[in-house]
Amino acid sequence: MGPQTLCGSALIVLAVAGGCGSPPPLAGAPPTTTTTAPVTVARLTPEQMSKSFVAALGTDYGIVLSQVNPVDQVEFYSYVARDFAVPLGGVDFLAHVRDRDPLTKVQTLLVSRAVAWPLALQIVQKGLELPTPPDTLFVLCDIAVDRPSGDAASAARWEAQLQDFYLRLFARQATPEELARIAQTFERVAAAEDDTGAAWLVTVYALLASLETWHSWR
Amino acid sequence: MALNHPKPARPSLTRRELLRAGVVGVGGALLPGARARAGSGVAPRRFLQINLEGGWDSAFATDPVVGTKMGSGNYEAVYLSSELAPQAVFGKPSLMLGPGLAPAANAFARIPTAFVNGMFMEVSGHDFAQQYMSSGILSLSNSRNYPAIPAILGAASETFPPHVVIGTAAPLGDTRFTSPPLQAYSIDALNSMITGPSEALVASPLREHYNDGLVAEAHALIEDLDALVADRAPPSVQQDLAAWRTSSSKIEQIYAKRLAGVLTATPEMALRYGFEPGAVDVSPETQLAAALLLLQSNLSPYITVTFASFDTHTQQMEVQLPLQQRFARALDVFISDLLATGDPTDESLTLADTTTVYITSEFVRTPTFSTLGGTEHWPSASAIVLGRGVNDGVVIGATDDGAEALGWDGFEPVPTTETTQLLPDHLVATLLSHVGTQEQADSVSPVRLDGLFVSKG
Repeated sequence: MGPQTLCGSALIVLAVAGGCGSPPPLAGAPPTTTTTAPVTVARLTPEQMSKSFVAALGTDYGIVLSQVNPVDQVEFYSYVARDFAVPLGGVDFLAHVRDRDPLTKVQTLLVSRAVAWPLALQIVQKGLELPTPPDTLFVLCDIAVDRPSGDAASAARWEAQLQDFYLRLFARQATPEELARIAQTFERVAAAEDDTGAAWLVTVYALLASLETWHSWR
Repeated sequence: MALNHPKPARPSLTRRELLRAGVVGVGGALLPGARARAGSGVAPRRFLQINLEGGWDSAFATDPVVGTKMGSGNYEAVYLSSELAPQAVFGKPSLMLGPGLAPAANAFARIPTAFVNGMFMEVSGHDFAQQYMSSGILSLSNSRNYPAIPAILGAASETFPPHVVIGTAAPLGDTRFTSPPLQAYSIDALNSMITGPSEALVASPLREHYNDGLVAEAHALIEDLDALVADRAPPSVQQDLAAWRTSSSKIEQIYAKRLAGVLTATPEMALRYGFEPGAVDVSPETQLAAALLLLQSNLSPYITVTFASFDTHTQQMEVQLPLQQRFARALDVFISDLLATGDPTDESLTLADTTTVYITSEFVRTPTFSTLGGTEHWPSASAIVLGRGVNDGVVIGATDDGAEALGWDGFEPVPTTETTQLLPDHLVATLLSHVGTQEQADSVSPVRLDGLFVSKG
């Protein structure tokens, strides 16, 4: 059992984060005739995400953040989280505050990237599947076509998709600076690989590995 | 058969006199250390700690039932079974092995090996005892712990990462803030962490686009996005954000080592150690293979590996003995590999020449079985030290016919008193003196186990 466990559980988490109701249809698509509830987007807090991550971290990396007391079978938050010294943002909320190391360590980043990479792969690979699977997160753009340098409609779809990821992960919109920086990398990778899927992989991995994903200071 | 404790050259001061004087011992442990660096002409110095978690049965291991113990009536009858008769290591008559370690007899014959028995273990809780055997500090506090030897060495070194832990967490003390190790439950998990975004997980159609440039673009984007967020973050979190970015630069050092595949056991290696190729469980076999891979990789000179299940409150014969034998079989292979593998920074030396290995468990077990067919914790501890600088064939410390830890004075077992008790602090300080510095050793204890080492590590 490898990173797929993490991918499955975290992917479900991200999909659920899309909120209630159906996402808006792609621009240019025929209008639907059914009435849908308004879309609400609720950012998952690291604590909410962490339940899936905790399970996956335990399976894949042996990071045990809780332990059942064998005497009374009551779960208690283990010293292991404290001694592991890896405050994975909200994932470490199980550690006592007095024991929590406030400073990030190299292992935090190594683990965060080792978690982000297979997750990004699954998200993008699912987006590239044909026929389109029902749980793909790429519902606002055509992953194989749309890009910042496309025509106005294509660029708008690309941006809408990126902003959707920002809402899901960070409960905010990307700033103009962030949009510009991501677009720059996206175009460079898309051109080098002649493939927008690869560019999306770089983008989604970067977002999932960013410090804002792993820190919660709001 | 009488216990035979060989007597190394006796120093001019007895241990009792040394204890009274509060000075460090002699026997080669006072020479100033020299940190080894590649090309410096000084041999690299590596330290590996192997923790058998749960408390092993020393009667199956380094302190078997021999001599007057056999007729004492204090031991479970099974220990007297002819089928489980202890044996001496060939050429080292003092090293008596119980049936648990018998599969490693040939390996012990080939590498400098010493046993330490009869260390008085004052605490019976696993965590406290493990910390005591690892750090030499006896603490009954849950609010603070003390660093194990590899953590001390790593913190004082210029290596990065300072220390690697495979298995459950080792006691780190304040080094968890200042010089935390890289750690993972298994070598497989560590491998996945330190190799960075791996092609192995990429499926078509993305696979044909995977390349180092792609990964570099992603990491550059991460860095820039992090910087943009940091600029807007409140002052209260700026310190942590700075630490994140400092750590980011160190990640590149890890990725640059290009250890993809280096820390993966080949099918041939897996079969030799006795596990299924691709297995990711934590067992004596996988952990000892991991230890060798880590030593070979030179990721860090200070390593801890742990594996569990020696806490046999039930099924002593069904679990403890077979598990020790599994460990011994894997240890036999591991020692052979140490002897046959060149040191990664000095191929003229083997890993056996450059590595000191400390095999420990929290404590030993009761000499009789409970009604559940198991054993309980017992206030004594044993350890094995082998490799670089070890005085070959010595046994330091002993237990009496009732399995109680004896005192130690002038290289002889004596009735235990406050001044003669052999304690884990003494062993840990001696190990630190050998592989570290006198200051590190003195911070644990001024006492040294004379004769454990023949030369400064």
